[in-house]
Amino acid sequence: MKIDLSQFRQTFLQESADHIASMETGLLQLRTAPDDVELLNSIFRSAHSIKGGAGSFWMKNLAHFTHSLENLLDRMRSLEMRATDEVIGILLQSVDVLRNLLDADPNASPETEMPADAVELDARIAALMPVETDSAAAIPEDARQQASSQQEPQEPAEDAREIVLYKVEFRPDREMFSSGTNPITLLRNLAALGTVSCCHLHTEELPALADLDPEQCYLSWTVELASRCVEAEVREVFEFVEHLAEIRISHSDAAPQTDSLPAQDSTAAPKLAEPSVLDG
Amino acid sequence: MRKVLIVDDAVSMRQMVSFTLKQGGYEVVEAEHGQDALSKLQSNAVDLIITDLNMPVMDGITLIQNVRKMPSMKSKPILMLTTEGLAAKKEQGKAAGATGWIVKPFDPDKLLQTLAKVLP
Repeated sequence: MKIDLSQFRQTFLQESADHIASMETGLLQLRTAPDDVELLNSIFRSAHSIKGGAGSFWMKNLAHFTHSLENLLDRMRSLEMRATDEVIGILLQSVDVLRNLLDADPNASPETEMPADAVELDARIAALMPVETDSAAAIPEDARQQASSQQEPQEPAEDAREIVLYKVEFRPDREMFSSGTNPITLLRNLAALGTVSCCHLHTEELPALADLDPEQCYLSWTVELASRCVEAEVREVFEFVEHLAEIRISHSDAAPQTDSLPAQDSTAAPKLAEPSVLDG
Repeated sequence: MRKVLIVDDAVSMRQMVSFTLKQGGYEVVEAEHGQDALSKLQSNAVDLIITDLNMPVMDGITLIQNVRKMPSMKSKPILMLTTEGLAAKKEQGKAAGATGWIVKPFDPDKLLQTLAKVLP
């Protein structure tokens, strides 16, 4: 489904203009109250909102510049950096740059270079902030993941891939339910990646009924899955629960006999397994 | 029809998320911040919450902590909608009881995929 969000651009532009005006007012107030954390939080939220929307509307320069501002303001609101006259002066100049970036031609290419005044101010903002001791920590995780995925060799198209027989051991922590996660949903998503030949339910940890706490997860599973997906795709099923479960994924190189496995259809998840194989 | 509560102080973001979810066949309730969301939950039984983290009045982390104390919402999925790709923010959300996250810039297809991934 292709969803066109361009109709919301005007709302974003108006909202951002309001945020910029609020930032300006807040920065002027900051001169007499440089340690006012709530004021700093409010200015931060304005930059944060502009950045979030700018990326969604492919306003690359605005997103980049507000990202730098957001970093600076984040350090100020956590009182790692003081709101000195110099810093407030640079932030007030940033307000003018933001207005210009917001007024940029909507038909301009997303690859249009950042205006010179924005580049210069961006460098001054970067110079204000102490250098990260761990350079990797300065790079947002999603950017790192993107860079990492770009370095990986291209996988062949899914239809051209060999079928791999995976063994997935999924042992949720007792507290998994507290995150609103349903393990059965994860197993369903796993099954949608191919054909499940065996789903073994482990009940050894299950206590007597009188001792059972219904808010705890006592069960675990071992699933054998024949799939054309690469291991990273299988692991992605558990992306949100890596801190809440023990997950082991192994695979055999030999393709199973089901070489007529159809290309996966994410809308038609196969059944996990017949009840008869859900033994203890 | 599945009902989703969207919590974000940015009107444009709420509109985009709301529009996308309606296109995907969901019913939508909107709230401006955490306190507003708690109020909306008094009169709406929702299947999932999508919340921003940086909001005035009550932020997303505090909202998640409060929602997890509500018996009817203990096991419902909560997704954090955030520009913060940094691990620290995600860790705070996870510790508060969030189910997962969606990183902005907002991508409608990715949003619908993530919902399908966490809804039973």
